[in-house]
Amino acid sequence: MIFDIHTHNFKGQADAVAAAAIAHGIDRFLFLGDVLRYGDQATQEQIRQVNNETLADVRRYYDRCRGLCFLNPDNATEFVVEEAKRCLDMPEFIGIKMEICTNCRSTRMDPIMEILEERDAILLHHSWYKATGKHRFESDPADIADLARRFPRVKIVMAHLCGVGIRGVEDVADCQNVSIDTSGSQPEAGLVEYAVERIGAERIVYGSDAPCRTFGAQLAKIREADITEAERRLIFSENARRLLGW
Amino acid sequence: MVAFDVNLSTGRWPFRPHLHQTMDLLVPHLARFGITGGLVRSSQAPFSSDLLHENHELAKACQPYDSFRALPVINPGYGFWRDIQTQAVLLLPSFQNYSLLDGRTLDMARAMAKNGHVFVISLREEDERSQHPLCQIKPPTADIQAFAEAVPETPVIVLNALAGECGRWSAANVYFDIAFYEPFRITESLQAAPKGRVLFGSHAPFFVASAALSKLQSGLPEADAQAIARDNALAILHP
Repeated sequence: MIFDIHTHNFKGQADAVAAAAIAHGIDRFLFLGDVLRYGDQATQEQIRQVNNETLADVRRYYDRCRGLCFLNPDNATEFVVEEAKRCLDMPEFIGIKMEICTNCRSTRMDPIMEILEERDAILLHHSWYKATGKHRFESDPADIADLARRFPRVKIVMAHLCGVGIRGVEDVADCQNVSIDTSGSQPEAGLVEYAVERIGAERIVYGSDAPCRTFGAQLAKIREADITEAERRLIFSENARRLLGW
Repeated sequence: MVAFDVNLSTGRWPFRPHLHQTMDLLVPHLARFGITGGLVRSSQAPFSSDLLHENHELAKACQPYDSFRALPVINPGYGFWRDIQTQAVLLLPSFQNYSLLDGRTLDMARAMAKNGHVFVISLREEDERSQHPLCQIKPPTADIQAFAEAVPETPVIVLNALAGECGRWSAANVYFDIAFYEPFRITESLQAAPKGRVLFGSHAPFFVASAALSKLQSGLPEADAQAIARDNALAILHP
């Protein structure tokens, strides 16, 4: 079984992503929403629109797809809490996605983390170490580690192993509530092996970041990795199923 | 599928080790995926000041492997380019701080073109976002078209181009590989690319070798896949 924890239903592309996922043997996948359509300061109306589109897209593929609720912590806290609860009350949503609206060290994250802890749902948070092109509020792995230590009972998936690299793995190594998804950038060799060796295969989950990337190339990172078949199964599906309860 | 890979490296990359960075590890690893030959460049050459030494070491490393050809680096500031014997030669303008469009570079290129050489240019070795913060290499994307026009009868193979960059080069002698080429609709994109000018390149051992192969195995007609995997490269590179 293959579970892709990181795909995006960008406007007008959800059906193509789902079709390609199925063609590549992906059994289950998450739609993370069109999280960059409105830049780094999506308004309340824009957030609700993105989530409503995710809801509609998930419903078309409900036999194999679930969604994550996209939030901007810089919106009014009352709205953020209401929108989180609105989404998580629906079976189509099984966690929350954060992109680049707020650096995750901000205490504006706290109400969201409290909801996640209460519901035992995951936070999938963008992260990257960038030498160039960093967004103003973008979180890096050290920021994720800070958040994870403040909320040690919330299950966090730090996105983009191939964007955070070796340094990113090191940053979260002692944060047992943080897993890392394998998406991001080019199919760099050796990083999956490094992460498995350093933090254990139980904390690595497969993600493609499609349609920013192709399923074939992103699957190859795991298929070609010099790890055991048991570790490959954990990464491809068992860890995601355990984290998500689905 | 049997593949000829125009985008291979060997040696120690300064910023991190790779699992298959020596030829004795790389060649059997590639064989698992049907990659049985290719052009191999030095991972140490981009930042070395002793290019002759790097070329010599590269030739020694490749010597036991008939179908893996050493791709020596040249530089217009180093006169040894006049003595190069291999058909294909590597240019690393951004890494070695010269322009493809300098008069000296173009004089060298025209002279080598007359002697039947083929040029290989590596735009980048890593995602720019992941480079060392004190070592930011800007790819010479904008200079490729004019350089190719200056040597119109000579193949110019551009490595590690992004899909969006490849569309900028209309010169019929520009070829490009698929290591960094990853549009979501990969099959449609490859079918729309100029026939004969797309080459198989994996960028191993930096990247997982089978990632590039997967791009040919997502619905591309077999004849088109085989052309990219091997035939297009062998049409411009001597046996």
